[in-house]
Parts: sequence; structure tokens; C-alpha cells
Amino acid sequence: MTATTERPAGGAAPAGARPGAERHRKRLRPAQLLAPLSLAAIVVTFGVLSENFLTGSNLQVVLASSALLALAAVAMTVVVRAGGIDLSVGVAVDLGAYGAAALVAAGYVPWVAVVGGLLCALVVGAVNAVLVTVVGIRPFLATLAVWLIGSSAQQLLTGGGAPIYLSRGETPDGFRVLGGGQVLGLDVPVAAALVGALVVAAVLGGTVWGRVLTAAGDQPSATRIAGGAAGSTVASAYLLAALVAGLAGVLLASKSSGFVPFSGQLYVLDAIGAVFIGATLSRTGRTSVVGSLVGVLIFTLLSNGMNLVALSAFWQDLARGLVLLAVLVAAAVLARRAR
Amino acid sequence: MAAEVAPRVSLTGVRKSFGAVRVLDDVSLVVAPGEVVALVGENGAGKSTLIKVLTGFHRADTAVLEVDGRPASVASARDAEALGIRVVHQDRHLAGRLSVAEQLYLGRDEGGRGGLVHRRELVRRAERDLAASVGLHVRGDALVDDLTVAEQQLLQVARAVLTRPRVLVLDEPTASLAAAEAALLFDAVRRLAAEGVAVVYISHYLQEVGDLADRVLVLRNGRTAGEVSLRSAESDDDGGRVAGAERHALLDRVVELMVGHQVAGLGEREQRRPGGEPLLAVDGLTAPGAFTDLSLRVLPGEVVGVTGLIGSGVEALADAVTTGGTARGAGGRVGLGGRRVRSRRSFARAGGAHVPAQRRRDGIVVRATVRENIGLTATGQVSRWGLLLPRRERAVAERWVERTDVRPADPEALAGSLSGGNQQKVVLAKWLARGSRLFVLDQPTAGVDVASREQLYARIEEQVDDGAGVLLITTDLEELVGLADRVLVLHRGALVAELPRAELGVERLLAISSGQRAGRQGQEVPA
Ligand SMILES: Nc1ncnc2c1ncn2[C@@H]1O[C@H](COP(=O)(O)OP(=O)(O)OP(=O)(O)O)[C@@H](O)[C@H]1O
Ligand SMILES: [Mg+2]
Repeated sequence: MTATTERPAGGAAPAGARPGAERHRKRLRPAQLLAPLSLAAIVVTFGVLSENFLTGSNLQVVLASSALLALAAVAMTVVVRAGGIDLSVGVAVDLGAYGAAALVAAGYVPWVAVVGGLLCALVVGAVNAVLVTVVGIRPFLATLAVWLIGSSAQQLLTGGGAPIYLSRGETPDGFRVLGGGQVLGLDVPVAAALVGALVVAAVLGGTVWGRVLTAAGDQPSATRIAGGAAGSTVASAYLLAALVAGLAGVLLASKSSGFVPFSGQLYVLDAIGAVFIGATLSRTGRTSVVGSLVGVLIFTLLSNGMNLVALSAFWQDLARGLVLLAVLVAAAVLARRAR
Repeated sequence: MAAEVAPRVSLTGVRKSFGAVRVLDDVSLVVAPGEVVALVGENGAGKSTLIKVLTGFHRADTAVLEVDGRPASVASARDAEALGIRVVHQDRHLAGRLSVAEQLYLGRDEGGRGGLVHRRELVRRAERDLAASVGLHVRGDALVDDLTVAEQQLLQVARAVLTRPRVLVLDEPTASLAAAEAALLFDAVRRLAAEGVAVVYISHYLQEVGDLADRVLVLRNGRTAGEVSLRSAESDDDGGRVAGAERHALLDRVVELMVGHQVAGLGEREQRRPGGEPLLAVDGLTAPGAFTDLSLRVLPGEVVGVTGLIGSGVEALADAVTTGGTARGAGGRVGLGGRRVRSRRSFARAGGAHVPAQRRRDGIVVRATVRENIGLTATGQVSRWGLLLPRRERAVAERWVERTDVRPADPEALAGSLSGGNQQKVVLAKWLARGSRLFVLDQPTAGVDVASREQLYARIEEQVDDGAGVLLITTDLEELVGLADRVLVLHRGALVAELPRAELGVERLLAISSGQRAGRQGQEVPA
């Protein structure tokens, strides 16, 4: 090729810099501040309203009560990032708890109970993965079906929904410590949630798998053409999510000394809310572990604060709904203004 | 044009910034009724942004809009449509699950007596309308998603034309069209202009601009670089536009305004001497509804070009090759470097690169950064044991952004925020970064400006000189003639000719691909 197309690199425009040469500085968009600001607003509000709110012991309570929701939200983060949604995350929590409690009740050693619980939860992930990536059912519908079936399964497994109780005597210390012990000054569930969140964050952000997962969640066909294994990666996202949710289930079984059917369902909607609040932290609306944890803190601090000021439970869902709505509506309005 | 006639549309003093980056600085666009104004400029000059201000998609920092001399304002596409402003955007967003007829009449009350839409009637109407307005022949009940890029493009144009617009804006409408299809589109544009529609035409093909425009407005780095009128007082034919050498000189002037200096075209180059075992071996490849029993070889160090019109099957070739003919109803065998291609993934793993025609859907992940897009493809270069190496990734991205001249040269820019041509450069960059050995390039320079095109060609040729092979699928005949060692022509799903480099010529290719000289393969293939 003889064409010698010398192009002046920048500075060629007579007056001022060429637009193309300037770096897109990593400027924060106002919308990205919404979730942190809401968090701060909640802290300040209840700090003023209740003198017990900003105390060390209360914050410890908050952390302890947010650990399981945090794990559920981390699980949800993975699936949403892969372009899906997991309505069956509560079923995975429940099956994890059921497996662990049933095995402990049957006299197995703690580690067998833990592994057994996680395996039970993985069944949920495997079914989701097959339905979504092999059969090709939309994630919302596939996990909805799994949720319904899983709820029924719990009834059948427990003879019509009878809880399993683990008496102090028959529970080995090694299992009790999971829900009630401490490591490094943290409750074990809090520590477990932190470790789980760190691992998932590292895997999502620092591995090829996470890169492919993120791309496949946005544009599966572009990902496949780019050489990424979109299908198997998305499938493994459901497995990872179930594993993390199962961990929450095992901790729950230990914490509550047994298994109460449907207790995992409590986390599903809050986890979804937390994940989408967290997504506003990113300039492209991408879900992230950090964002989801911010969302979880918003929800838990809000509930805790409302309890402290003795707001009736009837108002609490309304308040949470309004906060969720406020963040998302504000984010949408800001996005429109930024055109 | 009589001076007393108010401009049909006058958009003046446009300033627009994205964050800290000023993209348009005091740009004006004024078009008289019946006038065709070409809007040209390098990739990222701000053409599409200016148009998106006109349609209310972008909110300008400052801008004054007048339509027929009356002040107007647009805050949304709906406002623009109410004023009769119709735009065919560069990055088209078609609803894939709709049928052609539904898409064509989307948002309009059509065919429904008492609200009931007679489906079959509507489908037939759509087919007639498409044929009459832009010469497109497709089934009215086909799914939009199943159309080729070129067909989707024409469908969009037809959709705009059928609404009887007062102002029609076409943003790179011919980027993926073959010459014959583009000619039909030009006819449509001329008809509309003759009826008094004001037309704004964005293109990187100066030939087209010369054929069509009354006036050329050149943008450069977000400012008006100049204006060139292609009308002459003397000439009466062709609607009073300049022709011949005079036009040529004016267009050279346009290029100078665009890039600030003169650009050399595709120069003569030495005959390459490809040799060795074929890199790509395609045998008996069949793509349902497109072509049957196609066989071809690409040798190391060789550029094999393939061309054809809409309906020739050429648009399905890249997908069929890169999936190894494993799609439903497909058949045949594709070997790459001695390994059989069974999926897109195995194609990439065997050293294949695929630059797809639908760049926004298939070529890049729009919500990811340029760096992430490059890293996604060049995994071997930026990771070890599945762990990303952030420094390496950054370095690789910076290197290829620079080598392919992506602007802004910022690996952290979102791929979707780049201008169309720059997105295209990213698509090529990511495969170059991966170190692919065989490139299947489907319209690789669609929407890329004249100067950048040269740069991409240089990058491709480097790879070829280094022993890579290229299957170049394009409707840009000049590109074929400049780059290919051999050209295959498809017509109605069959290979009708194979021309060696010495016999390549734009006229010749044009004639063969439109079927005028479509003999059987043996006739054109020299023994
Ligand atoms: N949404 C956005 N956010 C940030 N920057 C943007 C956005 N849209 C466009 N830009 C920038 O504005 C500049 C002009 O882009 P525009 O799409 O108008 O170019 P263009 O002249 O149409 O180029 P092309 O010929 O490649 O289509 C580019 O530098 C681009 O990166
Ligand atoms: Mg553009």
C-alpha cells in the first residue's frame, strides 16, 4: 500500500483541542450518587430521631441482621449481571437450610451437613441453568416456576410444612458456631457474608469468566461472536448464585436452630430491590457486589431505624417501597436529563 | 433557489457537550425546500450528534430551530415528526420481533377499517410500497430480524419516505448497500427533492455526495470547516449541478476541508504471492435461503474478496463460515488451519476473527468500555489462568486503540458512546489484538471515513503480509479492487465468477454481480 496518510495527532485544529483527543474523564454522574446519598440520609435521619441508632451495639445488630440478605443479594447480583433474574433464590436458601438441618438432625457431622445443604441448593441452580440456557425459557418465567415447585417441594419434604427443630443437645458445637459464633470479633454469618461478597466481587471483576458473564448478560450474540462461551458461562452464573444462596441457608439453619419452611422467601424481593438500587452506582447501570451491599444496608438500616422509632410494621413496607421508588425514579429522571 | 423563500429547516448556533467534551461548537445546518445538502466529516466529527439534536434525541446546550421561517422546538422524536422531520439513523434500532409490514407502518393508522387491520391486505400493501419507494423486494410477513443489514436499511428509508416528510435526513444510508441498491435509493431521494422535500444526506462516499448533493457542508472536530456548492450557473443538465472535472476538483476540496490535508487513495501494490496449505477450507457450504454448495479456499497471505447484491446470498456467508455451517438447515464443512469449525467458539479458538455486519448488535458490547471489549476478545493476551491482568489489558487496549486510530483514544470510553466509524475500528482492533490468523470481514469499513479507511487497510495488509488470510465480504467494489487478490461473485445463491487480481475492475464486478454477465463458473474462471 503506497497510501501515506499522515494524520496529525491532536493539536491540528487551529483553535482549541479536538474533541476526540480529550480523555473521557471518569466523571461521576449525579445519578451515581443517589444510593450513597440515600444511605447517608437514612443514617442522619434516624441518628437524629433515635439516640440508640448510632451506637456500636446497634450497628452490630444491623450487620448481623443484614448478613443473610447480603448473601442473597450477592447471589442475585450474579444472575442479574448475566442478564437474568432469580426469583427462586429463596428456594435455594430454604433447600440449603433444609439439607443442613435434616442432616444434623439425622446425626451427621457438621461438615457433611454443610456440604449437603450446599448440594441441595445447587440442585435449584442446576435446574435454573438448564431451563434458561438449554431449554431457552426466559429467566423470569423459569425461576418463577422453580420457585413455585420449590415451595411445594418444601411442603412435601417436611410433611406439610412442619419445621425441623434442632435441640441444643443434638446439635454439635461445630454447627452451632456457624450461626452463633464469632471470628475476629465479627459474627460468623457477617464474616461469611463478607468473604462471600469479596470472592464473588473478585470473580466478577477480575476473571475472564466474569468478563464473559457481564458481556453475555448485555449482548449474548456479540459475546458469542467475540469468542466467549456465553451459554455455559450464564449457566454457571445460576450455579454460583445457588451456591451463595445455599450458604445463606446453611447459616440460617444454624442461626435458627432448625428449618422453618419458606423462611428464605423473605429475602427474594429485598435482594432484587437491593441489586437494582446498587446498579445506580454504575454509570451504565451495571450490577455490582459493592452496589448491592449498599442496597442491602439501605434496606436494613431503614428497617432497624423504623423499629427503633417504633414505627408500626404496616408502615415499614411502604417506607421501603418509597425509598426504592425514589432512588429508581430519580435515576431515571437524571438519565433523561443527561441526553 | 430564490432568495425570498424561507429555508425549510434552519438549525443554527448548535453547541453540545457530553460531560466536559465539546462535540459541537457553533454549527449550523440550513436547508432550502428541494435542496439536497450533504453533511460530511471524519468519524467523530459530530454529524450524527447534530442530527440527533435536530430530532430532539440530544438536548443541545444552545440551538435555534426554525421550520419554514417559524421558530420551532423539538424535545422528542414525536415533536420532530409532527414538524415533518424524518430521520433514518445510523445505528438503527429495529424491533426484531415485528414483521416487515408491522415495522413499515409502525405508529401509523394503516389499513384498519374500524380499527381492524386486515393482515393479508397489509402485508401485500407493504410489499408494494417497499418495491415502489425503494425497490426493495422482501416478503411483508418476514421477520425484521431475518432481513439482512442492507434490507433493514432500505426498510428504514422506505418507512421514512412513506410518511411524506418535509425534511428527510439519511445518516449513512448506503454504508452496507451495493451500488445497484444504492442507485434505487438515490432515485427515491431525487424524487423527494423534486417534490420539494429538504434532504440532508450523510455519507463517507464522496462519489455519492457528488452525484446527489447541491451543497456540501463539512464538519471537522465539531465545527463547520466549510461549505462547497455543487451547483453552477452555467450548467442546466442534472438539475444545474456541476459535472466532470469541475466536480472532481470541488470534491477534492471537500476532502481537504474534512481532514485538513490531501488524502492519497488506494495505491498500486505489489502482487502478493500467497502459498502453502489453505488456511480456510470451505466445502459444500449451504445456508438455507441464501446459497447452496459453496466451496472456497483462502491461503495464508491471501485476501479473497466476495461480493454480490441483496439476495445473492453474500450476506449470509460470514455467519455460515464462522459457525461452520452448523445452523439449522445449513450444511457443509468448514476447516480452519486444519481444524473443523463446529461453532463460533471453535472458529475463534482456531484463530478465526469475525467482523460482523451488524456492528452495534454483534460487533461490540455497547455498555462496556473499549478496553473491556478488546479484553473480551483478546483473552489470551490479557489474562493468565483465567485471571485478568489489569495492567496488561490496559496496555493492550491502549496499543490497539492507537494503532487503529480510535477516537477519542481513550480505552475507558464506553464503546456505545463512540461515533459509528470509531465503533467499527474497535471491532477490528479487538481481533487484531487477539492475533487472529484468518479474518472474515463483513463490510469492514462501513461508516469509516476516507482517511481512517486507509489506516485500517494498512493494518489488514500488515497481517496479510505476515501470513494471515482474509475473506473480505463487501459491497464496496473499490475496496475489493484495492485489496483483494481474487474476487468471487455470488449471484442468486451461486458462485458465478472468480476473477484474479489482474482482471479486477469496478465496472466488471458491477456487471457480473448484477447478473448482466453471469455465466457459469467455468466461463469466468480462467483455466
Ligand atoms: N452519548 C455520548 N456520550 C459521550 N460522547 C459521545 C456520545 N455520543 C457521541 N459522543 C462523541 O461525540 C463525538 C461525535 O460523535 P458523532 O456520532 O456525532 O460522530 P459522526 O460525525 O457521526 O461520526 P461517524 O462518521 O463515525 O458516524 C464523538 O467523539 C463521540 O465519541
Ligand atoms: Mg455518525
